[in-house]
Amino acid sequence: MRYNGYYFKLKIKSPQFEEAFSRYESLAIKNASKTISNNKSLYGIHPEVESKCMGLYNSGAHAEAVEKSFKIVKDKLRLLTGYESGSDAFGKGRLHIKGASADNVDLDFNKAVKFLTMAIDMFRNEKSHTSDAKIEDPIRAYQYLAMSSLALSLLENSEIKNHHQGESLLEN
Amino acid sequence: MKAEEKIYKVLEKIKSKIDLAPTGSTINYRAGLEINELGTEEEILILNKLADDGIIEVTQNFANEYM
Repeated sequence: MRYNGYYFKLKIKSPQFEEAFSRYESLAIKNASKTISNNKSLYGIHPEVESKCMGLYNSGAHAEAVEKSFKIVKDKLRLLTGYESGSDAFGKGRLHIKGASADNVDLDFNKAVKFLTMAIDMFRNEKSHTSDAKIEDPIRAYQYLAMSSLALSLLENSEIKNHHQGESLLEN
Repeated sequence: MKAEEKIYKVLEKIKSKIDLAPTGSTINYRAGLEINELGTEEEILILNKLADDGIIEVTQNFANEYM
């Protein structure tokens, strides 16, 4: 066994991954269809949000689940940069998200993630002023959880830029 | 649960991550923490197998994520 640690950083290989996915999907369906996707409802939710918030979500505490997911994003920002707000993390914290679709849109991509984390800051502040945060609809709550999951997934592929890499463009 | 089903669960989890991740980016997978009914050791074994079969490429592997 080459890899023993529990934490993997990996890339998929196309088209081998797609072929293997289809092959194992059909095998799994053949073997036991009932066990394949009993957590389809959790599709796309980040594992950290899933482990910390889905218990609350499933028990009907939607507002608490959503608020906790926002706090997980803030925790992640603090862990990465020492700052827990999106604007500070990308400004003073010099956070840079890798993975833009092309070099010339790297700034746009980083601004998008910055504003996503800032939106989460604002939502958290707005929702923390009431006990139920006006989230009665589980679908809406799930959509907020998906937003936090998106932010966390993007933050996983990040770095801290030094002074010479043009990061000041992100500060505005 | 049969071996194929366990492998499929790992593949399904990876797929849900790559669907969200920017194209071509590296994704993180925490064996044992991904909420898919599998244990840490099982997932590590499966990820090793997927890497050996050339389905995934493991760029880094750690025993701890906070380094």
